[in-house]
Amino acid sequence: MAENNTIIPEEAYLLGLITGRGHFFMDSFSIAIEFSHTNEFIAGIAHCPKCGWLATDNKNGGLKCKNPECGHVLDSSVKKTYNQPLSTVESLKNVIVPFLKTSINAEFDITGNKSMTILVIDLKNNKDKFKDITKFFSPDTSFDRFHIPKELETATNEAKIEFVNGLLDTSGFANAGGWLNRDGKNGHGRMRVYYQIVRNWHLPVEIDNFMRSQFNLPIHTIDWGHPNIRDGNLNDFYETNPTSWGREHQIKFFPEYYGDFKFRISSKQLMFDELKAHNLGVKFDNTDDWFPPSKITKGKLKAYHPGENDLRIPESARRHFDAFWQINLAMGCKYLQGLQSKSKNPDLFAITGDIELDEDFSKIQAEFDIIRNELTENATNKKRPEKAPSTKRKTEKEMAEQAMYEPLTVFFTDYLSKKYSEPADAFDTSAGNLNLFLKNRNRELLDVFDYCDKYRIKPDVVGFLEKQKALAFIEAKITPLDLKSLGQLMGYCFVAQPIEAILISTKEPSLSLIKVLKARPDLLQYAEGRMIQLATLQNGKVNFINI
Amino acid sequence: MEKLTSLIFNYMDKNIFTNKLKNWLDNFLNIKFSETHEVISVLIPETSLAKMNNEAIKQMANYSTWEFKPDVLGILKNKKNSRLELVLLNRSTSALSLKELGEMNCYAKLTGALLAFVASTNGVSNEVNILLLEDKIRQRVLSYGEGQDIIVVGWDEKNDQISEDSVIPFSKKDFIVN
Repeated sequence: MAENNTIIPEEAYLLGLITGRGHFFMDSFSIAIEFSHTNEFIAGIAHCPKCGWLATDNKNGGLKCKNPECGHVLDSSVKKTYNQPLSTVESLKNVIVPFLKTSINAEFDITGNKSMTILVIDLKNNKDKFKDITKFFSPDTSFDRFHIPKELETATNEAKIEFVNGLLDTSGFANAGGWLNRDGKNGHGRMRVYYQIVRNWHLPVEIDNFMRSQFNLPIHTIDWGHPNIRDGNLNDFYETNPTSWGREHQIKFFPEYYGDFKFRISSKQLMFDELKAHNLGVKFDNTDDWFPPSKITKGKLKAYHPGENDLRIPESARRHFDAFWQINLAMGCKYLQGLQSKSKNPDLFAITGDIELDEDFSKIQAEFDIIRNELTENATNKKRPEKAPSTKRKTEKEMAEQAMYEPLTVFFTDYLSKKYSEPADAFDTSAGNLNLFLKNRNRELLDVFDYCDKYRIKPDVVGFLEKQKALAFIEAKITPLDLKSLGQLMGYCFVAQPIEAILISTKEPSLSLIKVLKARPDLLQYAEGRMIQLATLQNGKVNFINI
Repeated sequence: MEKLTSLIFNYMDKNIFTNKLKNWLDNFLNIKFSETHEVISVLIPETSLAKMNNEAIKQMANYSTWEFKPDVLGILKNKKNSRLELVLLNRSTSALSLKELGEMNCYAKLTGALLAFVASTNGVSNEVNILLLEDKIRQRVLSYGEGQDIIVVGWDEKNDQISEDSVIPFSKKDFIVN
């Protein structure tokens, strides 16, 4: 911050980057910022050389003009393509880091892979700055929990713009596919850009409200990662993936209103320019803002979805919604709250969006309920295409290993509670990362084991000792244990430092492993006084092996 | 089959990648260690080190317990004390996970390797990359002895070289790419 306590533009930009995709490493006094680019290349948009209308992918390959009176077919190669990882690294090195360096004294490093680039800002030699920055987000340390720092509300306009620029560089995406079916004066299709917000449920509304209150800008919609919004008719639930709704949130806006802002990642800015130029050329005469919200009539009601009570959804939004704006209200949108306070019946407003309506709430609720139940029944009984058999068949080895998890879970619960004389729980966590297991399936445990939030590791069975907040791991194999399997469990143990770690196989360990460990028992050590134990699971019984 | 799969899924054939890394390591060791060490050989082992028919390995203490096979092996001789030293390199064509790093940690500890590398055409997985940015975790995962860290590198397929921005820990970047 500057001496008069105002946020300077470079710092505001950094706050934007952090809000979008930042992590704090409190022990290392460093900040990591993720720049995601799932696809190596993205393609721009194409216009018909004959009439200038938008040309989009044709079923038979190539592109076809959207103008019904033209219909010209053209080659896909007319689209510009952008190399995302390359432009991200170059923009970081040549533009972003030099910009940040003008006022932030730190070591900057870049790392990453084809799908993500990470900027690491090491502030070990400037700890006061690190404290200043983390204070804006305290007590949170990662982007899935961050809020927009409240200090920005009183910042200069330049700083506010830079904050949005930072937010755009990390969480903003301009893609050709996000256009809306709208007719303009000179053509068709209205391009949209979006902020992609991952696992953070309060940020979408905060961004919406920030853009309105600070810049008076419209937002088209918020596509919440909620079952009623992403899978309103339960098609995915019954046909493909029951939890397909559990994706990121997208705050969609029209680029022509964002002329004051810029991406510093060059590929994003070039895409943004293409989309903005298209919308300006086609000319649309309304803002298509979602606020004030559309009324929810009976025809807009949605079926009940089994995922509405999923633990991934925060309590305030863990229920049924018929429209996205209702989630905005549940997540604290001040504009909707203002409208609701002026409405004749606030409860009715919450389920209909009608500020004038003043009837019997329970009667309307009951009517809506009947319709929603009908929709649910129809969706459940709807004749659907037969599911194609999954091509991802589990191998025999995977199935045999999986069969070990249940007996090992029972064993581990008993073993840990007896050994440590306190209640213990053990779970099969093999299906995903430990942090997601806690977030998605066991929120109560996550409250106790909050430090596991950063553990994106996949042990087969995890034991939890709540009193001492300790973890214990089992890695199960059906092949003779060897150095390779030991190394795998060692990797997890180095990260999470469990109180116990057991490597178990249905077979006896290889003689070569025993030979190595006799000579080098230190290879089992993963922390001071903590060693991996070897065991076999035979006839349902776990037998420890003494080296 | 590997070649066919790699063509379909657009990743480098493992054998081709191993050979590229062997050439890179040979060149790297000859440049970086020519003053202090004699590079005896850089090779792609066909059996575990314990079973290798290699005179240099058989002169090393405890070699019979080295029941593993790195993808590329470098053998150096220290010019000062004639001590034989190993350089281990494992490679993967998918993003590196903790499995590969933990595995290399065991091998490097066991052999007391002079250098230990893990290389991938896809760098480190996003999950592990973030974990390795935390000093304490990175030290635990990569350190295998006093001042000795596993070096993680990504391979830039377009330019056929180590990708400068992929080296972990950052402190080894200059050593590897310059």
